[in-house]
Amino acid sequence: VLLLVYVGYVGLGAGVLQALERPAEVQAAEDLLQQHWELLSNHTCLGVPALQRLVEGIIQAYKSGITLQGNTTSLGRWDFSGSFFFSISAITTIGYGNLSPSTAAGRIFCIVFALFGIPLNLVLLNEIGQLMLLGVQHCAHHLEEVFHWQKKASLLIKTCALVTGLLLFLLLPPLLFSDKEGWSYEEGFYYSFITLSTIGFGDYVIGMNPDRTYPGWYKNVISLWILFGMAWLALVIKFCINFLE
Amino acid sequence: VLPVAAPDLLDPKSATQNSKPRLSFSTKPTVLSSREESDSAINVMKWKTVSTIFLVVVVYLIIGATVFKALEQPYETSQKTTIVIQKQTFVSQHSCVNTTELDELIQQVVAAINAGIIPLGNTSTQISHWDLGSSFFFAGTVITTIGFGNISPRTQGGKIFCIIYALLGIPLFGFLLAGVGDQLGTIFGKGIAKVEDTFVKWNVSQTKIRIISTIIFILFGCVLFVALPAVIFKHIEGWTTLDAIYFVVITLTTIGFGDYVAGGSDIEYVDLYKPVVWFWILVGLAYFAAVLSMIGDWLRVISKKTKEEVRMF
Repeated sequence: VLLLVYVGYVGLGAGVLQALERPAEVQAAEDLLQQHWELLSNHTCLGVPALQRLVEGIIQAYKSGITLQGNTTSLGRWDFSGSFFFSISAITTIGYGNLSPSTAAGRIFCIVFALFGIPLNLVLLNEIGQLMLLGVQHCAHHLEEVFHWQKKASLLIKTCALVTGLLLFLLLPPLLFSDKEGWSYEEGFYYSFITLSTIGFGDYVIGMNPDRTYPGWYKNVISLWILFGMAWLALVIKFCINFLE
Repeated sequence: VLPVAAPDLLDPKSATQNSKPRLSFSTKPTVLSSREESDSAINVMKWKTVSTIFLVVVVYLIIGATVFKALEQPYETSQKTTIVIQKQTFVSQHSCVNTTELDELIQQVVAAINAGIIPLGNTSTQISHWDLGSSFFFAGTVITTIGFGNISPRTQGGKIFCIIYALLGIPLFGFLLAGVGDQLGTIFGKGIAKVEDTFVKWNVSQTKIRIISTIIFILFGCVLFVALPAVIFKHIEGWTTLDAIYFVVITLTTIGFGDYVAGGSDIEYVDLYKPVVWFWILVGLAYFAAVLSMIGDWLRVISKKTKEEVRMF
C-alpha cells in the first residue's frame, strides 16, 4: 500500500510540475529559436558587441535548460517522464538541479511537495531496508539450519549481502551507463556514488543527452535502482554505526 | 502520547538519512519513556564534545578545500585561456558566420559554462570558483549532501577525491549534526519548560500545552532559520522573496538544486558572509531534520488511524 501511495505521490508531483513548467519552457524555446534565426539572417560581420549578445543569449538559453544545436531546440525536459524523474530527485533530496522549476508557482509547489515528500520517502526507504534485513536474516537462518554453522553463518551472510549490494548498486550500474549514456566507467561510478549519497551535483544526469535514444524502461529502472540503492546504503551505514558502537 | 509534540529523530530518519545517528530531539522537558528505543538512543553530548567534533569538521573542511583548490584551479585557468583564444579567432573571421560555425561556438560556450566559467567580457578578471572560500563552501555542500552542483569537480582526480571525501565526511557530519540537534533540543527544551510552567499555572490541559509548544517550536524555528535568512539573502543576493525562501527550503532539506546558491553570483561579498551562511546551514539542517521527522510522525499517526478504521469494518 505504501508503495502505491509513494508512486502516486511522485506521479502527482510530475503531473503538476509538467502542467506548471511546460508552457513557460515552450515559450522560452520559441523566443530563443526566433533570436537564433534573426542572428543568422543578419550574418554580415558579427562584431564584438554582437558576439557579446550572442554569448549572453546562449548563456540564458543554457540556464533555462535548452540546447541550441541544429535546427530545432531540444524540448521535452518537462514532459511526464522528465517531471517524474525530477520529482524523485526532489523527495530523495538528491536534487540534481539540471532541471529546476522556473515559474513562481512551480517553486511554491516544489517547496510544499518536498516538505511532505521527503518524510514519505524516508519512511519508504526504512521499510525497504527492513525488508532487506529480514531477507538477509532469513537466509542466515536457512543456512544455519542446513549447514549447522551457528554464528559463522550470520557473518558470512552479512558479507555476502554487502558484496551483492555493492555489485548491484555501485559496480554494475556504471556498465549500463557506459552503454546508454556513453560515459566512461569512472564517470558512471562517480555518477552512481553522487546519486546514491543524495549529494546529486547534476553535472551528470541520466537521460539528458539529446543525441541519444533511450529505451522506454530505462528511466524507470534507474528510479528503482535509486530507491533500493539508497535503502541498501542506509542499511550498510546503520550496520557500520552499530558496529562502531 | 502525542507524537506531534516530540520531534524525535528515531527510526525513519536514522535508518535512511545518510548515517545521521539516532537523534532524540525532544521539545518536551520530560523524557518519552514509552519508546524503549529513545532510552538507549539518548546521547546527550556535552558541550565540550560537540565543540571538539565541530573543530574536527572544520579542519576536515579546510583540508578538503585545499585539496580541491589544488586539483581544480589549474584546469580552470587553462580553460580561461582557451576561451580567450577562441573568441579572438571568431572576431577575426569577419565573414558571414554559417550554421556549423555557430554550432561550434555554441558548443564551446556551453562547455565553458559547464566548466563554471561565464565567457563574457574580459575573462582574465573572472573570480575563480575554486578559491579557498569557495572550495570550503563546496566541501561543505559535499558532506552535508546538499550538493548544489553550480560548481563541481571537473578533473578526474577531483572526482575521485570527492568520492572518498564524501564517504568519510558524510558520517562525520552526521555526528556533528546529531550533536547540534541535541544542543538545540536542550536549549529549546529549557525555554519551553518555562512557558509550559506558566501554562500549567493557568490550568491549561496537557494536550493543549503540547500543541502550543509545537506551534511555538515551528514558528520560532521558521522565523530564526527561514524568514530571517530569507530577508538577508533577498537583501544581499538581490533575489525575490519567493526565491529566497525557495533557496532556504531547498538547501535545508539538502535537496540543493543549485539554481540559486548563496555566494554563487559574481557580487562583492563581505568576507564574513560565506562562513555565516555555512553556520546557518548547520543549525538550520538540525531544525529541518526535526521538522521533517515531525511531519513523518504525523503521516505515521494518520496511516495508523486509517488502518484501524479500515479494520473496524
